[in-house]
Amino acid sequence: MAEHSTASSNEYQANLETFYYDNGIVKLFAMATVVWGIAAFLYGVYVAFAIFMPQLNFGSEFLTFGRIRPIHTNAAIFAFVGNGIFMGVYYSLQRLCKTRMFSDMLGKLHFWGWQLIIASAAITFHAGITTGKEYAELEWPIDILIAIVWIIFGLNMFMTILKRRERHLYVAIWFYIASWVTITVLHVVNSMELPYTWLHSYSVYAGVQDALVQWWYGHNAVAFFLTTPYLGLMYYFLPKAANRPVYSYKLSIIHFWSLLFIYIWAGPHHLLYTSLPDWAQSLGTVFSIMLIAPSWGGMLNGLLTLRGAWDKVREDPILKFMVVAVTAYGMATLEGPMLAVKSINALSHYTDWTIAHVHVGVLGWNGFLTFGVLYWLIPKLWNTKLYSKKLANAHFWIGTLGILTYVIPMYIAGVTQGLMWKQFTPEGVLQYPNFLETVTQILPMYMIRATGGTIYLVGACLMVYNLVKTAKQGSFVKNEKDQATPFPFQYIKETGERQHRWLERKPMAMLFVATIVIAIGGAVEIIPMILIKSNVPTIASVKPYTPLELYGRDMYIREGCYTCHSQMVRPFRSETERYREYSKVGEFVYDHPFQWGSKRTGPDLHREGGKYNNSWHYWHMNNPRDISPGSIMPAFPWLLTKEMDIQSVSAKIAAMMTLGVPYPVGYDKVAPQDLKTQAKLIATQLVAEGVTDVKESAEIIALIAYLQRLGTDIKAK
Amino acid sequence: MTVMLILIVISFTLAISFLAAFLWAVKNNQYEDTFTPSLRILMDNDKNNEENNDLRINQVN
Amino acid sequence: MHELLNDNNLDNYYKLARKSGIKPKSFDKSEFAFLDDKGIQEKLLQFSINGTSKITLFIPEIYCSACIWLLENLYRLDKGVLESTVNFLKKDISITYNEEQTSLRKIVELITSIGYKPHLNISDIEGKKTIGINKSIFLKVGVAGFAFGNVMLFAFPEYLSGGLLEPEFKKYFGYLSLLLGGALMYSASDFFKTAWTSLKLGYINIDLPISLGILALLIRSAIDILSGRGPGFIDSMAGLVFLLLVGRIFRQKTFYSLSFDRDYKSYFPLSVIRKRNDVEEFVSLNEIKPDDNLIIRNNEIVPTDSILESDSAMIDYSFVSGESKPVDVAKGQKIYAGGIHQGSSIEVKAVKAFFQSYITELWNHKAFAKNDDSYSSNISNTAAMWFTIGILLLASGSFLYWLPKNLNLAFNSFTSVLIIACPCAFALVLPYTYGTVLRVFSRNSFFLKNANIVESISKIDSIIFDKTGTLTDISKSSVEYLGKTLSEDETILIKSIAKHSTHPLSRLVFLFHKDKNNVEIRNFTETPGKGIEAEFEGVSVRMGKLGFVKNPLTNCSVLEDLNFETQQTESSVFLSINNVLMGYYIVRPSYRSNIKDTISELVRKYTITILSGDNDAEKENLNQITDGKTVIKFNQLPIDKLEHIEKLQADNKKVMMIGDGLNDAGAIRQSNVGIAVTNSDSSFTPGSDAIMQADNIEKIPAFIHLTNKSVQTVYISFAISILYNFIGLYFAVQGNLTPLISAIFMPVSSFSIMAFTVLKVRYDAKKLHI
Repeated sequence: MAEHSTASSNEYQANLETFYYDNGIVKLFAMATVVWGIAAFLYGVYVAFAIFMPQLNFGSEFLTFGRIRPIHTNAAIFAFVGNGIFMGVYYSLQRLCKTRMFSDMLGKLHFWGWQLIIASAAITFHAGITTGKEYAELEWPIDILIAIVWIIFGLNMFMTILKRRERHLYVAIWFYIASWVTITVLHVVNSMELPYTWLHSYSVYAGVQDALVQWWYGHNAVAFFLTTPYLGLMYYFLPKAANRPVYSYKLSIIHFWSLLFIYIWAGPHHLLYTSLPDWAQSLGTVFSIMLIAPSWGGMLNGLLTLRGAWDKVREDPILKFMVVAVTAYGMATLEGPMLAVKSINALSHYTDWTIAHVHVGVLGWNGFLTFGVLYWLIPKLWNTKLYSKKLANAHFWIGTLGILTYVIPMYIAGVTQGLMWKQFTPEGVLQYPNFLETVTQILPMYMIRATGGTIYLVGACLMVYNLVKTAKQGSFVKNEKDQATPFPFQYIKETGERQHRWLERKPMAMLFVATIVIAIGGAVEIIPMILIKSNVPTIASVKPYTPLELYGRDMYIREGCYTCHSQMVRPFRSETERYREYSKVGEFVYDHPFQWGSKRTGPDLHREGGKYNNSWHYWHMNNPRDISPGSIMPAFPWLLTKEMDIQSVSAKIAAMMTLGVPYPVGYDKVAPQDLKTQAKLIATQLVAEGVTDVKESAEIIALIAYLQRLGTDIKAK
Repeated sequence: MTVMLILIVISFTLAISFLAAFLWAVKNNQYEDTFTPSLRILMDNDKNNEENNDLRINQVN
Repeated sequence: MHELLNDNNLDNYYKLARKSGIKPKSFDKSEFAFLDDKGIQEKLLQFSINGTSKITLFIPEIYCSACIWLLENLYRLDKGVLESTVNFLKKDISITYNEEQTSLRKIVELITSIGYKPHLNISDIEGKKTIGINKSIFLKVGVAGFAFGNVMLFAFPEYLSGGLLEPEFKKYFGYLSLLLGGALMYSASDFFKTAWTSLKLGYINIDLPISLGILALLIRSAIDILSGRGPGFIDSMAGLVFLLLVGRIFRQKTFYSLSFDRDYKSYFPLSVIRKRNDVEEFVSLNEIKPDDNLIIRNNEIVPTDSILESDSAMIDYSFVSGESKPVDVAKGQKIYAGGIHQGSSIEVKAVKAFFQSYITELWNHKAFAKNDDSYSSNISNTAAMWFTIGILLLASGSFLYWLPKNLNLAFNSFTSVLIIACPCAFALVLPYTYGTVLRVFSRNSFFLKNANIVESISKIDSIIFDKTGTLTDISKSSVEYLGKTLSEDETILIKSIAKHSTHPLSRLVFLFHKDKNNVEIRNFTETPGKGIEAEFEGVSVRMGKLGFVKNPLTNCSVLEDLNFETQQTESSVFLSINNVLMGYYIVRPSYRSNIKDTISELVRKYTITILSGDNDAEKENLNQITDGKTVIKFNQLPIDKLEHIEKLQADNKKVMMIGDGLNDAGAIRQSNVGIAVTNSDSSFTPGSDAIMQADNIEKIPAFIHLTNKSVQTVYISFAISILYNFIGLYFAVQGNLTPLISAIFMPVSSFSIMAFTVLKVRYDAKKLHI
């Protein structure tokens, strides 16, 4: 039949165009998805164990929790999900537009560029090169690379849309477009940073402003990286896998536009009870709650697509994965707004509840949807059937078990710890004044969680085996043939008036160009200008960091201390009892970037200054368990010997001055000297406290200086 | 809180560009038919994947 | 057909369509010759520029995804097709093609040959089409929704900070809101237009107070914002406009594949064959002149009143008179326009031009011109008038009261009254109540043309049924065989022969024996209007009219006592085997189950009349069904039905006509509520206010009851919304309406009214089991 058609169609068809879909690029992204997926899960399992077995860093700074966790999160989001998005987009977009991708070369550049980003991320994070802003930790050269690769992707996508042979833009394409446009703007705005060396930079925003931008980004990255592109994939691959149309196409359109108009405003809900203005916090809450409607619209649309086909779901592991994925999406999008309600947030924030919440999203929604797509896609690409349906089913059950074993203990841990932090005795004092008590209480949960993660990883390995076997038994279809007529754009206007092709296509091109212009032009020109004359209420007693403190602060960022310690005392009695005076917005005006954190595996550190003497910190960093038996903090013994890079201080101070931190003119030149002076003072104090072998130039000195400075600018009670 | 203004202006601009996209879509008759596109995506020609095609049909039955 | 598809690699179609059951259709090659006519093409095509043309064809047969696939792959079958796009809901296909490589006729023949005969008729070339919601309302809702969302964003900080917002934010947020307020004027433009139009015509409708409210909101907000007095009311305004527009969409539910506005022209072909000097040519119906000779083929409609030139013909007038039995017409007799010819081609001589024919005259009867006033809601317009006068008085009153004391306050109270009285909740009552009823009905396969029909239904006090199709259930007609016992083999044979004929009676005989086996029949012949005959393995069978079955050779001695002659009605099929008269099948109409209950329930409240086009054979049965409490008239011509309704209406009765077929079309249009009943999901129904699936006829009492309930709901909701207004006005007249109160108050009132109406209607529907 196939041969027959070629012959006859050649003689018949003057206007029928034969073209080939590029499966090569899909294959590359699919392989990257699998490889990075396993890597992300491996890192996840590693940190899940490391969190309660600090000795797992094997005494190496490169393997310490604070550095590994960002690798895990970034790998899961940008490597696993990111490649998953591209795999799905490159496959579905070609078919939805009835055309090959605009450029194979751009596709390749996109692919290798993205892998380069991931590889450099892994290397720099291990090396402690980070900006210290969650999910945007990559340093400035990589940020620029991301922007370039992202624009290459966008260009390829938009040009493909423009040369499409199908008039209607299927709803999935809209999700892709919105994701691309928004992520572009988010990335550029949040990555505004001032480099001071080839690998280091400071955020141009400080304190509360930085926090706001960061969580505006953080929330929307979840929305437009983990959610909207995957909704696009859902609207394509779920109907394909079930071979039935989406329940309501109309609803999918409403879903898309309402989600788009609400999502972008919900960011501030990550900053409830922080120093952000009240109204901005409430705004985040209100918009988050409004999000439930469109999110659930999408979930129901996905699930109802399978109405009347549940017998098929029972049979087909692909559909099973997708059903759980969509359900997880529904759960996470209901839970999200719930966590944005102030009273619930008061309990949940900084605990493992948040961790459970995001893992329902990533393991359930993103993970399972990706698995479903892979099981559907790989046999198609290799023109064969799935090697083993049984194995896929096994993967499904193992994966589900893994998720449950992961999230349930995390919910328990979150609620338990949250309640313990707030528990007062009848006499009105904290029942658990020792933070460590609240940690050891939930250690069993951490252990079960690590098991859950391992189970999930095992499932994923089964998939790899299954997919490799599938690919082996088939033969890869690099270029898949299809035929279509070019879309006669110019004739379509109902009025019958002639329209030029370019006019018809202009709006799409304009959206692309406009985004880039807004994102880059607007951000680069306007933001720094406005920010310099920021009007955050200043507190006279708050002074810039000394060079040594600044050095210590950069170490704090380098070691990823923010992954376990917050610097934000919320205005609750339970927190002011535990940590003293709550944090004021004016205290952070010189924090480039802010270090408020989002999780308290250890206690808050904002009022750490002066709490203990220098030698306590010295020995604590050497081995926390010497000071607090049972502590799960990793040891940092190398800080005691590692030399400071005093030469870099001038550049740091100069950069800070550019950002408007009021050091005296020319201070960057004398800063190294000031640093040495202060280091000497601290070393002397350490010696006085009985520490022997103190090295004046050791990094520990800077860290102690920073920790002792924390929160001391305003007089605590 | 200057940054709030920046974020609002940026988000607002973004929202306006999406509104423009929405208006374009409606004017372009993209939403004239809100049903057939959902069926259309299921009908790939699948010439190279006859077997797969059969598989999917079987699933329907 | 299979070869054609396979050659072009469309055999996927067979996989997809395995269960679809679409069969290729054979058709007369000259059937579409008229499409070569430039004049007809010009009227059919959407456009034709530089050799590229586009046409949209209505194809009722589109019903599964395989259809879409095949029709959208037309370009593989015809190289001239540039693109074909199916709209599944509207059941149409838009084809763009190249004039040089193909022609309209070729395309239509192609899609007909693959089983999708497009429905082409004379109404297609007379313009006036396009159903569906106006695109601009979506643009307006989009803009309003966008403005609403963003204005809320700028308004929230003000509420949340308790008015302690930083001054610079206040300023920028205010300006941005005002900007969005300007954009909202576009969204609200329809309200202004309608209000203005109604004012010019000298009456007040609901859009007038709405427009006043919106204008008051904008002006007051602009002054507040620009003078720095406050944040303005743009948030309330955005919510108001958005909700009102959503309400408009809600009430405009459309049923794409249904067409409520079909007139007789929808049933007439585009062209007819005219024979002149032994040359046959296609001419458009409009070109027919008296004394033209026309060729009418099997199953074609006689387009104008004519004289039969051929020897005999069978004409089915069901279309015109409702009489379901075909009529024999002999040479020289008159055939009326609208009759459908059955059998081999005949030749007729037109006596009138198309537009002067009987059916056209019937249609053009003055009563058929239904004025559109009945489509607008009386309830809301009456209410709106009093409401508007009331608030204008109140606003002016409070203005005058405060004026001597405080100009500012006077202005505030004046605008506040207009703002708070802006009848958002009020205006949402009707769309949501009637819209919900519309949706409940459509779930029950009862489709209303628009939401205001709900109100019309609630007002009716007389109901007229057309007997033929509405009360009877054709699919359940009872068939009885009387005569000599038939052997198994004979029964099988009869069934197999009956299968070959599409005549309704043959179908019923076939269904009567449907459990039997099948045999392959070869020499089957059908004599239209007489009967069918066939031979199988030496056995010859004849079925049909007595005169056809009983030829001189027939031996009828065996059953002499049955007295065949008296049984010779239109509903009997006689049977002879090997020239022996065996007996006959008698078909009796079967009334819908529960129809008796339905009628006895309706009779308590409404005047029921049954107007039948048939003879009075069924009189007894009908009397029994109706318990003799209704007027039953037989042998009613369409014009009689029409006059009957006119008479009732002259007595100030509100009439609901329930009928089927074009013969009832006049009556359906004349009535206050015309309901077309259809048996299949075919979309051919006469012009009507509502279309109902025949199975649901017994739900009519519940349907009517729900409309009564919904009108009740409307009044209750009006009362609630007026109550809301009084509460609001209490603040307003004192001049201290704050933006926050307004922003909370207006959506709360609107949403509560919306929720109330929707839930109340659903609850009522549930109680009525619909």
